[in-house]
Amino acid sequence: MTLPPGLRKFVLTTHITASVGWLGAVAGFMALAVAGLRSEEADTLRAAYLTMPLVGWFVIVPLSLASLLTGLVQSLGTSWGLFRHYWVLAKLVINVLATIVLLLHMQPVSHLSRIAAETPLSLAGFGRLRVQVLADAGLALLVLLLATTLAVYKPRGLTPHGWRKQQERRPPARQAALSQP
Amino acid sequence: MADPPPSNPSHDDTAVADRGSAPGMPLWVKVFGAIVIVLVLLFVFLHLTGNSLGGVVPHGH
Repeated sequence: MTLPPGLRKFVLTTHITASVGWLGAVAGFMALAVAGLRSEEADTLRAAYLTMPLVGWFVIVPLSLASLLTGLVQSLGTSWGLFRHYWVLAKLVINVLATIVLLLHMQPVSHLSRIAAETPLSLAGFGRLRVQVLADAGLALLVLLLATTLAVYKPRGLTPHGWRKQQERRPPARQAALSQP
Repeated sequence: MADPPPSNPSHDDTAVADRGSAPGMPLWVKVFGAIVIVLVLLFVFLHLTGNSLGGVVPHGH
């Protein structure tokens, strides 16, 4: 299945917007995590940890799912394919794992938010959890930067499946020439 | 961000494939795969043993 050029451009634009938006939203989330970890003022703590689940559930999670979905459509709808080039496969692995970890780790964020809403100063007793949230954001940022780098540089490397597909697409005359000793 | 689709016959992958045998796995893929495996195992181990940074998060209010 090959997407028509207009639709391909639209899906590509959506994919880039979602992927880079995801990266930017995680950077914003990380700023909140730093503010929450460094501050001892109740107002700042409450603001930071109450904002986190909103950014997480209404910005980061939708963007991650949109990035994954549009990436699948974009690869399956063009000659790049999903399993033909290692860099596409690597991006798929990054995207799927990052989305799973994100969904799993939204739980501690929601927990911190509940504490912040009731007794923000008691967050001092949850230092490790606050560090985990910051570490998650930092790791996510690195992984998403890696995915962006892969998308721009497209390091070479055909998978065995991609190589077979490429052989199938060759003109018969060229294949015959290649098979000559 | 897979655009434009590969169409240039002088692409490096094509040059490698022209040798008549399937190309080997590039070094960067091996390094990437090793890092992913280590991270996944570490993640699973930390969560199964309850030793992640935040420890066990209580459910509900």
